[in-house]
Parts: sequence; C-alpha cells; structure tokens
Amino acid sequence: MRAWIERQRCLIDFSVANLGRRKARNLGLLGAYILLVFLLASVVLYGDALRREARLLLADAPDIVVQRLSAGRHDLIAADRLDALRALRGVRRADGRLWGYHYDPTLAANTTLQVPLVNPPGPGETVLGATLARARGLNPGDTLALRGDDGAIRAFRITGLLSSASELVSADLMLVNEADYRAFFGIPAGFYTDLALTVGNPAEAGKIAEKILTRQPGSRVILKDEMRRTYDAVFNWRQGLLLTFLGTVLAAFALLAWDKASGLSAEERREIGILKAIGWETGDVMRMKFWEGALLSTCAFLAGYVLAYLHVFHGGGALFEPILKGWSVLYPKFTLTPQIDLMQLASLFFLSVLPYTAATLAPVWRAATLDPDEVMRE
Amino acid sequence: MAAALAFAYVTVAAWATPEIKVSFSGRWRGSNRVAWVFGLGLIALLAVLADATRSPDRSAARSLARELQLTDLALFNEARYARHLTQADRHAAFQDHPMALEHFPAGALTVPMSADARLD
Repeated sequence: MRAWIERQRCLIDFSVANLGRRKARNLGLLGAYILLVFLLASVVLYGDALRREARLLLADAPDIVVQRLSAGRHDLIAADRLDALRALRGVRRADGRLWGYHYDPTLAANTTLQVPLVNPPGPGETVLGATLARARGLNPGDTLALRGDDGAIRAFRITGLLSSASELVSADLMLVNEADYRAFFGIPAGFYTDLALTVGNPAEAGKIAEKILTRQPGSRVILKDEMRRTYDAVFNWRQGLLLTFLGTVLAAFALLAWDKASGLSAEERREIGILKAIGWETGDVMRMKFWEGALLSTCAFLAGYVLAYLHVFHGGGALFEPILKGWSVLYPKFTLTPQIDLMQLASLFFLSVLPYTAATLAPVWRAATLDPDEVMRE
Repeated sequence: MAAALAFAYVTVAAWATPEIKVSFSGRWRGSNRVAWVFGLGLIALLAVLADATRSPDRSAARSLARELQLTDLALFNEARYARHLTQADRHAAFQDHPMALEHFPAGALTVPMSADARLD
C-alpha cells in the first residue's frame, strides 16, 4: 500500500511540475474553469434558495383565492358570494380581501395598498413597508399624501413601518383601513378585490374549488398548491431565464472540454513519446495525465463552489440582483436562507469535474498507445 | 469529491510516514503543495457546509404573510401582472395589446403556466 501511495505521489509530483512548465496557460485555464463552476453553482444555489424562500414564506397563504372575472379580466367580487362560499362543506373560513395598486409618480413605481383583517390602522393613518418608506425617505410620524381615484389629495399619517425582516413579502405594501381604502379607490361597500378561503382539510381544496366553479361560473379559483407551483416554475433553474443563463455557461464549458478532447499539442505528444521511450508504461502516462486533469478540475470545483456560496448567501447574489430587479424601484433587501443539498453538490461535482477529466484522457490514450518512435517523429 | 478524498487519504498517509515529512526549510514536493491546496479547499468546503446549517429567523415575515393573507413575494413590482404572479392572468405575453412585446424584464423571468397548473 505504501509503495502504491509513493508511486501516486511521484506521479502527482511529475504532474505538478508538468503543469508548472506551462504556468500562464494552465493558470488561465484554471481561472476560466473556476469562473464557469462559480456561475453554474451560483445559478443553481440562487434558484433553489429563492424557491425555498417562497415556499417558506407563503406556507400560510390562503388555501383558496376566488376572483371574479369580467370579460376575461379580474374584477371586483360581490360580498354576498361570501355567504354562499361559507355554506360549502369543508370551508372553515371565508374573508373578503381588499388590495390594489397605486402608481406613485414621485417614485415612478407601483405600491400595493392593502387592508389588514386584524389591527387595521386608524382613519387617515397608514403603516408602510420598509422598502417603500426608505425609497420615499419617510419615517413614523411623517405624512404621505397621495392622489386618490377622485383626483383629491389624501394625506396619511405614518404610524409605523413593517419589519425590515419581512421585506421580501412587504416591500411595497401600504396598509390602510377599509373606509380609507374604499374612499381612496372609489370602491363601494359590498365589493372586495377577491375572497380568501381557509379549508378544514387541505386535501379537499381541489374538490371545493371544482364546486365553486360549478356554482359560481365566471370565477377564477387559485389554490395554494398552484401558488407554490408558480414560484417553483419561476425559480426553477431548469426553466425560464435561469436556463438561458445556465445554457450559456454549459456551452462555454462544453467548448473548454471539447478543446481539450480534440487533441494534444505537438509538444505534449513529443513529451509522451519521450516518457514511453525511457520506460514509462501506457498506464503510467494515463495516470499522470489523469492527475493533471483531476488536480485542475477538482481545484476549480472547490474554489468555484465556495465562491458561489459566498456570492449567493453572503453577497446577496449581487450578480443576479440586476436581473431580478429589472425595472423595480421598490426592490426589497433580503438575505436568503443557506442550504446545501448534498445530491445537488454531487451533481455539480460530476457535471464539472468528470467531463473535463475524461476529455483530457481520451487524446492521451490515443498518443500513449502509439509507438514512441512514431510519436516523436510526428 | 472522490478525487479530493483520495488526495486527502494519500496526503495523510504520506505525512504519517516520517521519512517524507514536509520540511519548511527545504524545497516542497509537488504532491505536498497539492495536499496543502486541497486541504485548504476541503476546509473551506466544510466551513460552507457548516455555515449552511444556520437558519435565519423568518418568523416576522411568516407571521406578516399569515396575518395579511399574502400570496406573493414582493420581488417584481414593476408591472401589475408581475407583482402578484399567482393572482395575475396566466402569464401570457402580449396581454396589454396584440402588438405589445413583453417590455418588463420581470416578464422574461416568468414562464408560461403549464396547461394543468390552474383551474381557469
């Protein structure tokens, strides 16, 4: 065993010396390789973390949301439908929700006005999301004046801010009471934006949704499971924009591996010929080249993955922020919950290390099986 | 990972052999230098794995989402149909008018809903 270890160490010594002979080329290759693994791992970690965050934060979302459609568009829903919904077997609770958008010309951004069911602000008062307050430079005690649906300016005194720890769900929220909301948007009593249902047994939600559609045609019914699936789809790294990004990285990686697999330089072939001529066996040459590829790719994997982790969970995914932010003015400040899936780690390892190592071996095997004399004469 | 573990094994076994101990005064063997690099890499990876076990407090955001019956993250507030993705019409492009190309970057992130994703 000790002899085997010493033999491998000697091969590694030789491989390191070999890599050192073409220092600039190999350092450049290592840098590009680290960058590729970093981007690949960042996309996967970021997509997964956002999906998990959405699942965690929206775990207590309403079981069913019922909207009314009018001419194919979301419209206000009459409050009298609530009684019919409460009468359905399996429905434990039904509430009317009041929420809507207001375009704030000062910020050039949409804010979401909402009426909380419990502890609503007093008349003429509001509670703001931390991002909105920061963007507007407002603090508790200040007054926020907005132009309502009837063109009149309405002033709201800020009585508090929502916790900055909840920015991911409350960035653009402005909470007001029901009377203020209806007066601001000109919505008559007896109408809601949509209805939120809580069911006794979540497994029955689908059946209840079918009943609602039968009894109240023209409704749109959205289940909690569908909300979860929506965010799963948006942040799935196998779909959407993340896939485009990932595709570019994988194409660059394939190019790197292909370049390596397509052949050796004349210098490398001559070197293999000399090694064989002085008594190296084909197996030794292969092992030496294996160590070369494995050293480079494992080193790139370790560095790339650790950097990607730091980027996503400690650097706030700075590279992806401009993509997600888009044109949003009220973009929340948030940190993601770190988590590493070992299967995902293993997949990334095999995806980034094996193809490269295998690609280095193929041309070496072709050269190492030839006669040394023939290789050196080429 | 397997290669890294193999390296760690080879290195530990080699260092346990007195005649090839690392000498700080002499010239390092290539394999010793590799072992140092990989040892540091593995330590960094283990530190990352340990760091990933911490779970930041999300109770404030969760209780707010529960109280307000929130259905969406406030990530894409640039367009009304992107702010509440789960509540919007199916994420159809051109929903403003027939010739309107998707002009909000958030629209490029969202994918069309699959046929069975919603009941409407």
